[in-house]
Amino acid sequence: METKVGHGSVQPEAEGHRSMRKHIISYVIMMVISIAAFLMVGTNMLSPGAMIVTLLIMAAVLVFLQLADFMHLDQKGHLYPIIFIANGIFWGIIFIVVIFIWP
Amino acid sequence: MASEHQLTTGLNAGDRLRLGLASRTLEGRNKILAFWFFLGGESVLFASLFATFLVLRHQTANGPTPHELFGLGLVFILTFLLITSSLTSIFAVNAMERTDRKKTAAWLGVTILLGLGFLLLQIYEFAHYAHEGLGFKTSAFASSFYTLVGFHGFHVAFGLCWLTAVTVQVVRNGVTTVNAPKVFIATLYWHFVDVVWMFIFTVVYLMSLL
Repeated sequence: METKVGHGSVQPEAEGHRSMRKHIISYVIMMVISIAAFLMVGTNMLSPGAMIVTLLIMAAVLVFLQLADFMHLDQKGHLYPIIFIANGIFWGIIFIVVIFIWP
Repeated sequence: MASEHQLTTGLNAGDRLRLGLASRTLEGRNKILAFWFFLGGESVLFASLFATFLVLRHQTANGPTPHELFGLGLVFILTFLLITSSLTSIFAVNAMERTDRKKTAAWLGVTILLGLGFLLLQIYEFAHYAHEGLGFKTSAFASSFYTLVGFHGFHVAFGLCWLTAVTVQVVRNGVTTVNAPKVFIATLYWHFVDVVWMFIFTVVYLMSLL
């Protein structure tokens, strides 16, 4: 069996129409969330504390959609990319938290 | 040429596994893997810049504050431009899969135009802030803001040059197993730039206005 080929660094299967619909749906969801975020801040809908949490959750969803869908992380053969990005995010969170609470 | 030999060795297995066009050659797969390495590193880079901004964002000295500067409308347009350009870059990759030279080049072109719109609007925005009194050294907030958002803008500019070069190659040589990884990786970079922007518009612009 060909073990040297295609593990962890492949561009996924050629896309069909079903996948195209998924992309467009993701795009629409992203635009809706973005619009909602701007409207929420613009109209001062929530208290600052609640707003920060909500915005961060929205951003996380946006980023997740972008990574998973646009960058095909939801398809097979992407173990290495997932590891690398997860590592980046891991250190990113550590940096931000540490610098933030540094006295 | 070494890559042509790899072309032969890689093709059969790639065919069997029905991989995308960019993964048909060993060279293509190596390039894609290496690029994910790079993106991991870039994530850490931007994380540092974000951390710095988060810590310094309240220190506006005697200079302008976010409330006086930021306009939600403009930032929303920037966001819309970038997310849409991410979508059109996917259409380009799709066309590449179908080895459709014209459509690939066309969608790449649309992506570049949208990205150019973003860049020009951002330059206008910076010029406006500078005019309002926010220089690079005006305050800690100013420095960290310009560094973070400016770094992102630089990534946009570099990405536009890259996409343009790839588009030219597609127009000249058609969609080949040599071109396909380039198209794929350039659009991967573009998606990453969009990811960073999602954090920027949330953390820098929206959260500063709370």
